[in-house]
Amino acid sequence: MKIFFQLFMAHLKDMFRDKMVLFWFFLFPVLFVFLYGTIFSSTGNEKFTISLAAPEKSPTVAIFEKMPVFEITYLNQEQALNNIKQGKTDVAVIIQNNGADKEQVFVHYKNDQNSTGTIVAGLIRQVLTEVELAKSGLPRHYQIIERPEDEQTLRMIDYILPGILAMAIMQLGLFGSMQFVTYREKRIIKRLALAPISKVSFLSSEIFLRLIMSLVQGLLILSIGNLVYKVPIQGSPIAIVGIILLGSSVFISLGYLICSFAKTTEAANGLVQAVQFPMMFLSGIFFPLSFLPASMLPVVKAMPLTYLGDSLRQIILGLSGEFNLLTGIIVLVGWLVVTLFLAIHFFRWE
Amino acid sequence: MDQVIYVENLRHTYNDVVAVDDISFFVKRGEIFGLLGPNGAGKSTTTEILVGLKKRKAGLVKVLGFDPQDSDNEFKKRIGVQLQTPALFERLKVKEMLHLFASFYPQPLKVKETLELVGLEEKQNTLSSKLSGGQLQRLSVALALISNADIIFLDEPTTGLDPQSRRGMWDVIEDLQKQGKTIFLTTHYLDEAEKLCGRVAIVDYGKIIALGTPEELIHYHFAEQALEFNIPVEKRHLLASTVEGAKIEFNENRATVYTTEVVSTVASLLSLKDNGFKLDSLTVRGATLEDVFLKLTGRRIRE
Repeated sequence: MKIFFQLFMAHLKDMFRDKMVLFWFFLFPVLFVFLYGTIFSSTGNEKFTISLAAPEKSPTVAIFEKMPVFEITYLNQEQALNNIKQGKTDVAVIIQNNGADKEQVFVHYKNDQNSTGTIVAGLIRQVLTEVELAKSGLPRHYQIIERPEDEQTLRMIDYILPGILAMAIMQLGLFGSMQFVTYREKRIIKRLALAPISKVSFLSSEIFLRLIMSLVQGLLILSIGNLVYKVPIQGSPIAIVGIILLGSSVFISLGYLICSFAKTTEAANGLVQAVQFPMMFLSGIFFPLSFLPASMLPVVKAMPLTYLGDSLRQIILGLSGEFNLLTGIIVLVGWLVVTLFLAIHFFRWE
Repeated sequence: MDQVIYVENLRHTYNDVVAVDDISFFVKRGEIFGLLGPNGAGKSTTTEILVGLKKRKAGLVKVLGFDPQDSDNEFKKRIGVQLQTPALFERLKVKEMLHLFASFYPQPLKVKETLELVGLEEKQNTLSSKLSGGQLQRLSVALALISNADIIFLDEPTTGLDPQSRRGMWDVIEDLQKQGKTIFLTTHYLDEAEKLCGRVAIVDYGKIIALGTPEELIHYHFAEQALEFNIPVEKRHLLASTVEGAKIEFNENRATVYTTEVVSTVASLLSLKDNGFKLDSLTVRGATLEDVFLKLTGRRIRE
């Protein structure tokens, strides 16, 4: 136990004094959180911008002003039209008084697909029709009651945060195992073989350190996501710790397997890159699997990162995912058993 | 006689290359035993077999009663080893490396004491990746010493050290012997072997070509004294007729004449004066292990 602790401390110091390790394993995922968080944390409740040119005391303007989703800039006609041309506003609205309480409302917007302008134009039409209808006092035949299915809206950052954690766990497992190749290459393993210690305690102290680091990553990423970007953490801490440890074990094991085939650290780096790169982009950790062409799905559905990302998302957010949670966990355990078996089989001390 | 290392007909090959060719020797408790030979003679291979890092191809090896190649931690607790290539955690400090290794052994030396022994007190807080070659070498030796084990194996412990540090290391090794340790040492420095070793085995191409105390080896092979002086290459032929019967070795413009009759040889050499021959830088010395190696192999060890 004393020796295990000493070896653990040696690994810890050797690792944490490497600035690159600190960057890639901790700072890099955190930067990802801030990057994606800043870009994708909008809730969809943002305001629509209207460049408005209207006569004074226009009743239409009074209606617009009551709408909290409209952010109105008052301009003259020319400026408003200029803004729409330059894409500085969602819509430009020109209001002309036709006398006797009648107003003409010109809505200018860019009529391309997915443009917010189309939505805002529709919204304006709906609002004014609604007011008109109310004024006319006509009887109503239809009543629309909206009931959105989702109890919470899943923002992009909510989706991506568990993905970033999955990525961090993968990189720690895969790249972390390269350290062992370095120890082998620098003959540290050979030197330790001369000391009265079991080689297994050397290896197990290294693996233990990785598992702890993955939990620290989890704590770091989830805390920042929750505190800064208000990502809701619904899962129980035990379930979250469990899935992190399972995922981390899979990738540590896969890492050692890959590294068994590399003589040098450079070779190991190449092999690890070749494995982690496709997974990073194809496993749906950053976007839903439905974005991928169907022909890719068999490959995607074979990757452990796909299931780790999906399971993490389900457990952390408390939502259902692409796969049944149990299926995801079974696939991960399967990956762990197979890679562990192969890693032990191909393992080389020297 | 207490033999702590016993080797009989040891043989090792790498593919078809014979690295260790049927060697036999023993090491007594408390002695400094040296394996002396040029690079590639099989010294490191022999050391690695003795400490249990390599499995031998043939022969019998016993170290402290254990067969190293089936050795367990009980055996490893009793040997301290320094290998030729230092292998260290790059980002661990010198004293951290020593604390780590101290934790492996039942009765280790104190870290502070070990640092003083090898002269690394000043560097104890330096990362091992920041050490110079000589300092690394000393740390590597320190890791062998801290075990406080019965036998200390040192594979070329002074290679890469400056002359002053080498002498310091010799003092350390002699101190170890005084504490009752057995030291198995390999070196390609003849002066080192001569100074430190109780007994020396000279190895060349995997074979032991001579074995004994340095004095025995020198007296057995050389009853003569060595006369050394400068002589231009084109005048070498003059020597043969002047010092008839004596053995002469040339190394560039330096000649070595081995003789039992120093006075008469010098006298006959002086008679060459008329041929414009000046006996520049004449020295007279007893033979050394260097001469023994030269005589046995026809080569100098550092060639």
